[in-house]
Amino acid sequence: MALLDRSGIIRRLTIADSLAKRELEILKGPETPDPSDFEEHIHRYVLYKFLLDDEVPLPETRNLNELAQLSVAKAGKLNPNEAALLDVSRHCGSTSSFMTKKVLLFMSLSREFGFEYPPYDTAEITTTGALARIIMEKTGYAGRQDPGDQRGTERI
Amino acid sequence: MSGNKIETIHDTVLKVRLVFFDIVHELPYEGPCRFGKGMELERQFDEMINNEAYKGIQMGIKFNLPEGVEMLEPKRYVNHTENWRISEEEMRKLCVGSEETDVYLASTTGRTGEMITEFAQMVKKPIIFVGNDYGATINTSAMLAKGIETYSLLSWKQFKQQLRVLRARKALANTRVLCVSRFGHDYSLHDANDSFVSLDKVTEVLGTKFRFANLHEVIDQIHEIDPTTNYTTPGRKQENINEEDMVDVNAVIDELMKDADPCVMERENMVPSVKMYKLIQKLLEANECNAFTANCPDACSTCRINKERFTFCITHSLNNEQGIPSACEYDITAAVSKAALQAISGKPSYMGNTAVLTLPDGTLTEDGYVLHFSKDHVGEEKWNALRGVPNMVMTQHSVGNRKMKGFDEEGARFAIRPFAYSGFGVTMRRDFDADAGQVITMCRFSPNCDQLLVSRGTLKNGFGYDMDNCTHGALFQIDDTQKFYNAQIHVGNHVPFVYGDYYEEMIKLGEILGLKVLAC
Repeated sequence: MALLDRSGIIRRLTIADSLAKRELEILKGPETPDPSDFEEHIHRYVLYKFLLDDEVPLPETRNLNELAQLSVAKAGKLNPNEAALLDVSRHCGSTSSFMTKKVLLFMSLSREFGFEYPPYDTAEITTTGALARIIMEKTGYAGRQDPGDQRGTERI
Repeated sequence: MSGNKIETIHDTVLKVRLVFFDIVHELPYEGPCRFGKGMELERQFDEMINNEAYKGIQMGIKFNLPEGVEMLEPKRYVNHTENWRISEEEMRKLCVGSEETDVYLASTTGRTGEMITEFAQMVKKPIIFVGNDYGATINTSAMLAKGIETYSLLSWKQFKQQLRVLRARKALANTRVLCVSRFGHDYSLHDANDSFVSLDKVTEVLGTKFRFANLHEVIDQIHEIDPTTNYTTPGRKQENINEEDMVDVNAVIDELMKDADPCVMERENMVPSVKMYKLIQKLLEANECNAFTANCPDACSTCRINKERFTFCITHSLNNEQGIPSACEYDITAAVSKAALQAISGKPSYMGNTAVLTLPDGTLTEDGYVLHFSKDHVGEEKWNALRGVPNMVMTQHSVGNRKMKGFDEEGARFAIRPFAYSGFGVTMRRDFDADAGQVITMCRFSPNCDQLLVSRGTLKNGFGYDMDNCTHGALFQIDDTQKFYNAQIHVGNHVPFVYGDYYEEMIKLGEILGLKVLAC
């Protein structure tokens, strides 16, 4: 994979952001996708936000930590010196970049859908499917559809 | 582990607890110690990422706990902020349950070193950091300088190893040795006079405790008589072998005779020694002990062993198989060394007279006069085969066991042969030839309990499988016999070994016990 310069990264981010937004527009639109479609749109949103949408093949995992780790690795390949642009933060505390990516993803989605989620529960959401089900529940979508099973929301 | 109600050292559980310290920024700003952009500077981001880190470290612990270690409910200091105020109330909440906690794993999202130090000073328990974060080296060095027992580990693999070592230290403190003696009790002048000089010192250093039984009183109790009528303790109810015990005794003999390859003893010659084994089990239980040793020469010279026609050999073999470290010749040091090896490896050990046979250049240490004892035991053929083979050592006593590969081992080949040439004294011989190539780890504490020899080698073969008496043993090769010998003269003769490579763990165990480690 060729390194991208700053303008190349901005262009890549703009395209990915636009595609991610399109997934959300479908979910917010007048049509009511069934729960499995809803989950699929959220999963694709995550792939776009994590810049994993052009991977061949696409990652098989739906685990958020694993996807975030793949995203951090991808950012390093695109340009290791553009960490801030690629949401790869170097904090002074003992946290990892993949955690940063995951938390920023939650915060973005909660703002997009206009709901609050207790910050101390987010770490319990481990898959894109579980994330989708939380959004469905928080936005009232769940009242219109069968929320499906609760796999992916686990406590240790 | 034991078929009886004896709490073995294998039952020791190390209890580890996570203590986690948040750091949350109250205000959105960047500066030399805080950086990010947009949402990353919001308080909610910090709160969420603290939770991610808290969950992550719990998962790490959960998937890296070795056997015998239990994770207790974690404690967390939530939302400590960069106004740096420390709540005494919250700190006290973290300390709840410290009495049942053996070791804490401390983790943080940053800049809380002074809180971790204060916490360690409050609970007075060891602290572990895992990971190569620079915070670990900052906090570890600062805490070590303050006299706090702190371990900084680079990986989860090292974490598991450290927990095994800490568990072994706890197991040693849970070891209670039943010592059957004739004269005195710290050590025997005519058995292993290289054993610990002061048992009080051992208790101080290792926490190990010692209980005592008089040799003559013990021998009296193998008789099936009214337990209040023993000659040495008239009127006092003792643990004499009874009719019910004889059912167990006969069952043990049946099993040994059936499975041994071969058993060359007559049943009647086996009964007294197996009765002694059963009696020792009862005494271990009555005294709440989980390790054992008894006189050999001092018992022999009473002539009562000859009169009663038993030896302690099979007691040691069967005890070891049941997780009760059991040592010959009132060698309390060997019993405790065996306990250390068992605690680290989870396997029983073997012990015996340990002697360097060949030097690093392959020369046999003989000149026609010295070491005739070893030569006689090893046998002419295997002795001559040693010539030119460097760094060979022997360990020899007729106390083999069938569980050297682990307490669940089945089917190991063994022989039952008499100790005495007149036919009494049951001994178990393991077929060490079948285990050639097996890596072994050895250790022995010094008489002053201030040094620990640690070594490892490779088993080459055994000897004495088809001989009577105390002739059974193993031959193995180590890295440097001269170095080994130079260390051995500071610790003594019997150097027990276990199967497997636990060299690094044993060195760490010696270090955390505050001993000088003689690694060789």
